[in-house]
Amino acid sequence: MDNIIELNSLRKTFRDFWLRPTVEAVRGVDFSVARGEVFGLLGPNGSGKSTTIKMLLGLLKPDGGSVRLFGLPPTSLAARKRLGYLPELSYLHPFLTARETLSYYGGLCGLDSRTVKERSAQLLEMVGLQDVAGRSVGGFSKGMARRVALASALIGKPELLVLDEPTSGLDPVSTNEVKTLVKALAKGGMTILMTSHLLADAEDVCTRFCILNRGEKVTEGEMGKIGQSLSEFFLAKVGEGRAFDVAEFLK
Amino acid sequence: MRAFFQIMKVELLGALRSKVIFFYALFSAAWIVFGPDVLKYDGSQDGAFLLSVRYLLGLVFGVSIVFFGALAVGSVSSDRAACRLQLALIKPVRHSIIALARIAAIVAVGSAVLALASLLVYLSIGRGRVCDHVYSPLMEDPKIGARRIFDDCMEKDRNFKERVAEIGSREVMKYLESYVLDTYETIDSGKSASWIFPDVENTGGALAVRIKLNDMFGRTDAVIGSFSFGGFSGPLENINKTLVRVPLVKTGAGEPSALIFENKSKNSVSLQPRRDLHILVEADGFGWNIFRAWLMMTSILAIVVASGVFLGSALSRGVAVFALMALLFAMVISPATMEDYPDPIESNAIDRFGLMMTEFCADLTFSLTKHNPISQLESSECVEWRDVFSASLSALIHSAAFSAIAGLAMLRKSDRA
Repeated sequence: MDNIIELNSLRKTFRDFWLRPTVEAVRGVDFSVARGEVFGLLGPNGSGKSTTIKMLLGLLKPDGGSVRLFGLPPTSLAARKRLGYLPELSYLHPFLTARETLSYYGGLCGLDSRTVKERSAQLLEMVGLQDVAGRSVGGFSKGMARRVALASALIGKPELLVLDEPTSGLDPVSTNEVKTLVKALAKGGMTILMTSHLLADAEDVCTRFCILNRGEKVTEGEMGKIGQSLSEFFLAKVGEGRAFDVAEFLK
Repeated sequence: MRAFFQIMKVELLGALRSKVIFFYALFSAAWIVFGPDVLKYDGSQDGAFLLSVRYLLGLVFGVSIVFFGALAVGSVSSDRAACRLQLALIKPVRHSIIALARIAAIVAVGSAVLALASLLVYLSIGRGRVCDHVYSPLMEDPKIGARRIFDDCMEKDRNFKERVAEIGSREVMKYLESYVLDTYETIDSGKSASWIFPDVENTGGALAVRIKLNDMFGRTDAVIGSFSFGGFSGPLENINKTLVRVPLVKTGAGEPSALIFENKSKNSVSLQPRRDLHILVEADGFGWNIFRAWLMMTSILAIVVASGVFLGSALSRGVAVFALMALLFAMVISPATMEDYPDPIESNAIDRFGLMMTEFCADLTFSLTKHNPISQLESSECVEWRDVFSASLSALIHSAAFSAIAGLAMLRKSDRA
């Protein structure tokens, strides 16, 4: 099978100013994602999902192991050309309009102005922002900013789309819209890697998943073959967590 | 190139849509226009010119260096703090291009502000003024002079040999070089002296001699004499000025090469020819001169902005701003500090170490301090095209080098995030 992402024994330890290790964030994680898959990278807070994503995007240098995107190092221009990324929070330039934002990221992808114009119009219509395309994104609601960020990630027509908590902070309607969009993109042949705390969302859209906990891979599987809900499966693998004893406090 | 222009466009839009730049440009313009009403001067045209160039344009230039340098530091570091930088870093564009485009955008805005200030100075006081090419006499290379004295003393003076062994020949040579540079030439009453000048390109503009006078008693009111330069000559009748401009008029035939001064006063006249004597040839109008000075200011600004973008890429914003300010401070004080250091021969090891560090700072900021367009403008000296080209080339090389290492530093920094 044609693997788009390949991670082998990936390791990352964060260090302080004196290079003393502070956190071992990722400990020997490996998984691969095939073309056309919607892959969920799941795990509780602090499990190493974001660090893994940063290494996958070439923003962090791994201490050990290897990352290949399209068979290339993630820092290569050829790999970055085929990649789209939606971060957990929509980090947009507040003084730019929605249209200018898409034009900016289209330019960074090396697209000519005509293509940028055409794709911007398509994407703005797709995410339902065509009426506010001339407004500064600084004044947008969280949901609208998320949609602009998603459109920016798609402007280069990437083969691989990396979504970091794509439904985080969205209302149920917007969440549903994003999930529908992800499914439609996957149906169109795009490979998608997404992280999420919201297991119901992951269950809806992912075909395969990998669960991380404390920097290590706990398990990897296919969504239809776990024989129970993803939430039950997740808790069984990661643990229920500690029960807070509030009785003493409430006395 | 598309990515370069897009980054530049966004940086420019950010600058233009932020009110800070607008108000900065407005205050700069207001300072140039209303400055003469606020500051006191002698009321003469020359006084107004000096005020406009040195204190109004000079201040706008100085503040712009600090302002746009700080803006450059914030360009990358604030984007990193807002997590926007990572979105650009994962796009298929070289990280050095991201840095270079930001440098280009900030320099474009800064240069526009300087252009506005320069234009206002030209319109208010500069029309009708001219500037001069400045020629210095051809003198022996101070290194050769110093070597000659050094060899002579080594041969004849045993104490000298001991001192050289103690403090090192390099320090002694430096001292001797400055001694040769500072050597006064004395022209006794009734005597003449001559100095050879390089080929003075006389394009038909007015010729003059500029001389800084100092008689043996520290007075400057008794110097009388005459200059001749080929077929040109002019009388020197100094009353009370230290710096005198003597116009030369055509009085005969002959190719100008040697300047001859005949001392007709009762006292001896002393001068340091390297520093005190120049031939001036009218070049062109103040408009062209301030245009060249603007190009020079833009080049200096580009070097500071490139340093700022590099520091902002490698360090956090607070540390980067502090580092840039320290660099600018070192740039300003290094020359004066070096002047005030004790002579190497009389100094101890700690003094010499301090001097070495100061010289390092001066070398580091050499590109910025080599030419000062403001001082050339105020003394009506021509800002030469060759200096403009050399400053522009230096700015291009610095920008390319700083953006290359800034590109590397951008990812290195996120490594520690």
